[in-house]
Amino acid sequence: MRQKGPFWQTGDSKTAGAEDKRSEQERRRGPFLNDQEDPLNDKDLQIAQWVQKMPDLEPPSDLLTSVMQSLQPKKRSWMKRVLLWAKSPKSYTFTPLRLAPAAMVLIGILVVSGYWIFGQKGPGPYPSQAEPRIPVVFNLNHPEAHAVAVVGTFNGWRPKGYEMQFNPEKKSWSLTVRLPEGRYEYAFLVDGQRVLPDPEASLYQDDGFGSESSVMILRAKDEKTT
Amino acid sequence: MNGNVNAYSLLVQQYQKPIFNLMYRVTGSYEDAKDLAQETFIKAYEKLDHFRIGERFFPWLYTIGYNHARNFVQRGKPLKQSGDNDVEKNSGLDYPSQHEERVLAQIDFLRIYQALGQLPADYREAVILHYHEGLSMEEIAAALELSISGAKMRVHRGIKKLREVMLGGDHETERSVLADR
Repeated sequence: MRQKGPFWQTGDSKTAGAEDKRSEQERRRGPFLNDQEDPLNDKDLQIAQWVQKMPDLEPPSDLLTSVMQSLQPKKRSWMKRVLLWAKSPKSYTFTPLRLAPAAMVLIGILVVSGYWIFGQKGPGPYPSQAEPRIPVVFNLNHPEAHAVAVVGTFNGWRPKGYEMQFNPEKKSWSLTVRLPEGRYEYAFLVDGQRVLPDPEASLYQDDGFGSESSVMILRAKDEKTT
Repeated sequence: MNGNVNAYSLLVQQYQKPIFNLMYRVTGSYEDAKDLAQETFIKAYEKLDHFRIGERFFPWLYTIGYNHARNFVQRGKPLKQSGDNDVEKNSGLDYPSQHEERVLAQIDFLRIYQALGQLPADYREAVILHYHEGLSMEEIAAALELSISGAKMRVHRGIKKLREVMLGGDHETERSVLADR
């Protein structure tokens, strides 16, 4: 994520000499590049500073939940659907000869779906319980933060249960997670709002939204500290 | 993150504050701001296929939110002036119950909040996006659907207009601005 800060705060105001003079001119000229436009005066700059520091209203605490519930419309659970189906009256008429092809198709479907469900081994979004797990220590040096969680492909990008602990001596946040071998994208969620990639990661990946996620590849022999 | 609903919740967490504040500035109503912010995130989710990979998400989201807010205003629902003294409870500006020092600071910010409310929306949003949200001119141009020179002009003139609103004929305010320096 980019550091917040207006153009007139990016320079070092204590630098002496010609460069300082030039930056002062640029600071006053503001974002408008047409020389005929009035440069910003002291009052303008003061007001700009107030706008920068102006506090934001806190959004309603249930806004996130409302949005996410709207994105995931409630569906009837399969048990309810089966129950409804079972409760509704039905009538079937068939002869044994007509039943035979239907039974063969049913058996075929069961065999194929059984293969897809049990016969294929893929990485999947969540780690399987049966695979051997490798301890991974996530660390983030961010003493100003009030809360940090690690989110990634291993927990469906959900911070709950993955909150990091602050170590006042090391002034860093840490959490140990045991993961099976594989490739994982992850990031740190700071104060429930800012998403930061791991500054210590050796690989990064564009997350598709203008920010980066960190990438970690775990092998069975590893004991990883990020 | 590629459309994963849980990953999208991270984006909602990241940007709910600026989007909610945009809606509050436009409507002046806490409830309307909440509804509009929610609808903005839902619209953005539905349009994720149109988002160009590699660009920053916030200006794109802001465009959707700003257009949605403008449509809401055009539908003609009477607006409350944001920054009015009858600030709603739980809005963060219902400061009387807060500590005295914080109250004084809030009053200063309330004054600038009220002044921002008097600017034309395009100027106000350009100023806020640049100075408050830290967006570049290219990003402001994208968010407000302007040319880059148009975005620069809105920011520059916006701050000038803000000064006129805040200091125009108000010598006491002017003195307090200079005293702060």
